[in-house]
Amino acid sequence: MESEQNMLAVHLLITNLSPDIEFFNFFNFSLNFFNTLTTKIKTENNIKNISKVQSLIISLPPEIFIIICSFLPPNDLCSLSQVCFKFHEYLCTSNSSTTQQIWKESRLKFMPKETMPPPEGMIEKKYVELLIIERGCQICKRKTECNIYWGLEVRCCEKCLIKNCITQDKLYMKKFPREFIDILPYSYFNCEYYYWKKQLDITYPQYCNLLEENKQCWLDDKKRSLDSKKKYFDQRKKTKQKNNPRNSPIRISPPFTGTLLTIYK
Amino acid sequence: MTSESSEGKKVTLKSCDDVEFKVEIPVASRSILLKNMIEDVGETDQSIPLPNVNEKVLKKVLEWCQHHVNDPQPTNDDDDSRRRNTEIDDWDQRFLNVEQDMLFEIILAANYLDIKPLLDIGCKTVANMIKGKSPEEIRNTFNIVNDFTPEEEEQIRKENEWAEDR
Repeated sequence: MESEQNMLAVHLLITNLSPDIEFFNFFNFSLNFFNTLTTKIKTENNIKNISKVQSLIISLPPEIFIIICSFLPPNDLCSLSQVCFKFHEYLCTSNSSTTQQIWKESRLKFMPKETMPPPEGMIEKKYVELLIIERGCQICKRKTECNIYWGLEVRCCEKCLIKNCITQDKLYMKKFPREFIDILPYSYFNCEYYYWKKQLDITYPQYCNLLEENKQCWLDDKKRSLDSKKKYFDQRKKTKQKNNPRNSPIRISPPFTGTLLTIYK
Repeated sequence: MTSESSEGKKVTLKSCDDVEFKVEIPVASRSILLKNMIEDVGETDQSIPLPNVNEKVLKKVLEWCQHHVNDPQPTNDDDDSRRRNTEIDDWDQRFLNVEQDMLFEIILAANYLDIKPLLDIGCKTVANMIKGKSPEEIRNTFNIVNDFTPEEEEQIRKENEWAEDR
């Protein structure tokens, strides 16, 4: 509305008055100035109103925020971290021991089976987030069936896995050096080794820019970290199988054993 | 609460807006801060000023202390066990069925006065208001402004996907 009126005024000025350019410029300038001024005042008023109605929850001291978090399962902590800057800071500062503690406590309390600590180098928040299978696919966000691909450190549906990954044979076909492929994290799925494309985009330039004398050191380092992770994932699989009877071999009750045996014979 | 009764000794508390409350010592002692103060000072006719609590909130907090006067005092070492229990009893639920600002003021007062069980049920109540909500629903519940810049929002979206920090 306002701008329409302004346009009208300008239009009138141009058509009806003598085309005094200097005056027009001045008029336009003052109009702009006035507009900026009013918007500024409006925003200031808005900010004032907002701070007046804004809940006290924002100004709670961190120690109270931590107590509130101690009653929340990981899924709600995720939502809370996306509410505003302050909560995000409380819940997503990766080098803060308090942040780590909040997520760890929530995991141990609400995911009683997940007693294993996160793999080396993975922060609690990322670990816990990976574990919340009910949040669905991390990539397409759909709440479909998904798996945690520990090697790739992602939880996604098969569709997104295939879309975002490249298989090992393709890597060889594209002539990536073997020593480089050996240090790339992967997940084993459907009898194939899957590598995350974005990972490739990040790591390959690093590899190419290495000075010859640093190369071996860099490769060894990556290999070591990959091996340590692999060890962790194997360990994890073992404890999972122990805890979850569904994954253990099916025990056949006696009456069926007989029939099965006859079939095999 | 203000009437002088023969049973039990009393202590006078003064809110930040200068309203005095005469309270029986066991009731006031639900607050560890006051309990320690009373033990240190001994019997006194002077009122204890509470510069962080106003009349309305202090009255409410004392109502809670009165109701829970015979509860066992929490010990320091059962920090974990008290948090594991997510139940709030009926009386406490009714007691905390107040306006949001009042709820937060009770929490702040409980923190300042060091009344752990009250602090806990207050925080539990807030946690229950958060549970199962999306970020936008949480903002609406508490009137929180989304103060992320578009760039920050994009960054957060990325954080929750495949993270590059490796």
